[in-house]
Amino acid sequence: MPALTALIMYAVLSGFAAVFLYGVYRRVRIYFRGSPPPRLDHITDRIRRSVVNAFAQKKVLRKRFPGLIHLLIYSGTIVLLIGTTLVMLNVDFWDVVFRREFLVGDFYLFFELFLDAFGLVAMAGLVLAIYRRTVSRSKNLPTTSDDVYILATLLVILLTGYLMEAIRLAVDKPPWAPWSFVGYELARLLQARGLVVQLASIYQGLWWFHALLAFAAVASIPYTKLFHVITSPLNALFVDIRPKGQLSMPFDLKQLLASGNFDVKIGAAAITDFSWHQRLSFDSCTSCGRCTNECPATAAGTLLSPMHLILKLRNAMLTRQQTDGGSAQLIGGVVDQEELWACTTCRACVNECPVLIDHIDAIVDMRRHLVTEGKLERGKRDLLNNLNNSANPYGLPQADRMKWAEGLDVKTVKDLPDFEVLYWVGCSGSYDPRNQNVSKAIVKILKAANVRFAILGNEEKCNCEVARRVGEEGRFQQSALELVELFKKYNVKLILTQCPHCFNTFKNEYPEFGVNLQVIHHSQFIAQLIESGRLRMRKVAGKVVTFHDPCYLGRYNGIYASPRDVVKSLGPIMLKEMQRSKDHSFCCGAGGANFWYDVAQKKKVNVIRYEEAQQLKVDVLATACPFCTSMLEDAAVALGAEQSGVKDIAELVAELIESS
Amino acid sequence: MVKIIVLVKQVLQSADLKVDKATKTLVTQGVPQVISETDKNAIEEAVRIKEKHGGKITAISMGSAQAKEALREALAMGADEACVLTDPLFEGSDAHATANVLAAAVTKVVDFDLILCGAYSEDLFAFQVGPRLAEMCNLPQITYATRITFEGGKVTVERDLENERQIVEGKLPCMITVVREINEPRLPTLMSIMAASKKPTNTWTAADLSLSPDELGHSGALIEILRSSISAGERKRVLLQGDIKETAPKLVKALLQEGVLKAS
Repeated sequence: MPALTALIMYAVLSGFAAVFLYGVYRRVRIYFRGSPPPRLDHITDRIRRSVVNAFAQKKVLRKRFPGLIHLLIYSGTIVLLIGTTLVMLNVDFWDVVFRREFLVGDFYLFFELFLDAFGLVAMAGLVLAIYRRTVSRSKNLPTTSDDVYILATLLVILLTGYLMEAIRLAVDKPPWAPWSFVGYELARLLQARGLVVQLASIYQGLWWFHALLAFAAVASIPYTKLFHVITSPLNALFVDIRPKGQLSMPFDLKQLLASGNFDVKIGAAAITDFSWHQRLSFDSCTSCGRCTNECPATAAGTLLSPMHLILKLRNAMLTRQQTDGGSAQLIGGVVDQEELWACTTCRACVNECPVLIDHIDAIVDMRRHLVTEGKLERGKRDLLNNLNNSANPYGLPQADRMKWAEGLDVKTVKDLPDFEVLYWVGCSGSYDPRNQNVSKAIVKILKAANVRFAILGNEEKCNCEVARRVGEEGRFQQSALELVELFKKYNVKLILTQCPHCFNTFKNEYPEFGVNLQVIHHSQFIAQLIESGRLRMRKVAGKVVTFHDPCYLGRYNGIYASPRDVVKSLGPIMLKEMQRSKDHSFCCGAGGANFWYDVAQKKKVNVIRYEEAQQLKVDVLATACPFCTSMLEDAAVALGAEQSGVKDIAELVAELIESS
Repeated sequence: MVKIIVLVKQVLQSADLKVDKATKTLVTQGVPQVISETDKNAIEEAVRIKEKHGGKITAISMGSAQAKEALREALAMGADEACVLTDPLFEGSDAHATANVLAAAVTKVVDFDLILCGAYSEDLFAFQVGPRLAEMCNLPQITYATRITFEGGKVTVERDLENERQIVEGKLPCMITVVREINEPRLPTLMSIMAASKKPTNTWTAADLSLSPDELGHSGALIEILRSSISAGERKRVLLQGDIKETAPKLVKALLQEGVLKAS
């Protein structure tokens, strides 16, 4: 390349670089408006997340076909970008400064082979991507002008690259030509057709076209969907590091009580009320549709689609931010309240998102704002009123909390101060007739295994997990402060829960309130009792059972094996898995406080799930959560099933224990 | 600018009330105290009026020191200041004696356009305090409001009288009692209730209100409660099972026998 051409090229390149940098600056400036600076604690963990998710594509590959397409395009493009940069360094820098090149000898041959191969890799990815967007139209995958632009541009860059290589090889005829195997074959084709001379004459033009298109592609990154190549590794780097089951803590009630100052801004009313990291995360969305495909609220035909919610927030951020400083109200304009209330916090979306967006955090932040406004409709208001006045969501008398245990000789912590296990019954297990049956089953199991357990009796109060998920953070924290004192008073070390929501809150959220209790779910506890031989059971044969994974047990806490171990220990039965199970489990529709108010649904979430179980033709639909039990029982009634077949695993075990 | 006084009563949460089977008396110990629902409607209405027309809301409650909690909730909902009227002398007040104390407090506030309260309290359902207070203060009164609008110093109120709906107009100042249908009260968050403790709250005793002991409590009451008893109606628990074609006539027959339905 003549020196002048190089000079012009680098001048042009600097222009494109400036456009790129300006674009990045414009976006980043938006994130940082009115927010605290980035967090960089747990730096090794952050880097690991970034490497695993952005560079190693861990979550992208959760979906095989789209994951493969992405991997092909991603790896091909990166290798070619690095390769081309190396060539530029070699020719225009190393050679000029050091008067020698580093792309020489055998290394160069492999370099050529490698680059040619990865060109094919990228090309395969692009072709498959076009197929996926045209022939096999994927559900909830919007194809925008960005997608057309990106696929077309990359394809043209690749094709012109190969063409130029072929022309060079055909004209220069170097002895190593076969190493650039794609270019070589193409060169032979050109020669056979006698096109070499003609094409060589436009080589210079082709070269500029290729270079300009490549520069433009890079410069367009911050202006298109391609921006995710920058945002997603950063998003993974700055992500909130806390247990999956722990919601963000917008204030610390204990500190506020000490200071007496309660004037804190709670929740997100405007785009600027989100943290800078949240805004960065919205900007990472590639509209791949995976969250929406998994979302039970979307499946039920509610207004919520997690992908569209994030896209609307991003759009508000990129457009409104410019015009009104980002202070415009989101809810009512950009986002409909109903979308927010339709979320069951089942975590399917967050679990699927390849760029680590936390949809639930954003939804709860906006719910917090709605709760602060105080204008909630009846169901939510009754729920919060009941928690305020009765310490349970049902609004039933606290004095009746222990009624379920009448005649069972269950000891309270006062009767048995040296108990080993605190059995936390929970509100549903205490008040709901269907789930009182599960509580009784658990008592039967604990007694049969000679476990030294006690309950809090009428001192047990709702831990207000549901208040936190509705967005009434203060109520949750007040309850936590009270319960922590109660646990200390009775020297509680090990809590056994039958409700995965209570389990999750004690396990993942209570450490923030200064207690690290050992928390165990009844599925784990029963599995341990069976394994250690402390439970003697009859066996049952010939039943077909499926297990519905409760979200707060499975996706939030990774407990998949224990409940299945319990089911398998019932005898020679057949455990069938539903299509959506374990971390792909489909919510029952109760979570995120949805149990307590009505959401307009075309087909109810619990009915969809119950039908999925029915398709397996099972005798028993086992679960391990009082709310799943209630929802699936309701679905059975709605579908007119003669017998619901819904059983908590504790009930299944208790039925097989010989009463002594 | 509308200056509003809202009267708030704290009552026992009725769902938690139980009868001691041995003594046949109400067990009130440990039963949470809450704001009577219609009074919440009154607070909500006051806040809505203030949001629309501007103004100031004073919430007044007569009761034990615990009434402060109810007032804190009223402040969190949007009241600007609160007065708790508490004195051992107030104990045993009936509707008349209560209205008398509230009237003294209202007179002490002096500057107001409107008094709002629930049409009844959820414990005694006497429907008395509002109207009595209005009479004592010589104020016009409009009861059972389901809608209140202001225009040019006048107030227009829709009243729900079960069989008919009246629309009446009144001059300010006046006293209006509201029923539950008027609005959906907002729910203050715990944080807003905590923050509300910073708003001014006065405590007034009988002496502050220049009331003499003989017009207070039992001495000031017009009604003497001789005896209270629990009416325990036993349910019959009849379950008609079977085909609807057979059970429906049986149900009709049973209802006729009970006098719930009348044969025509």
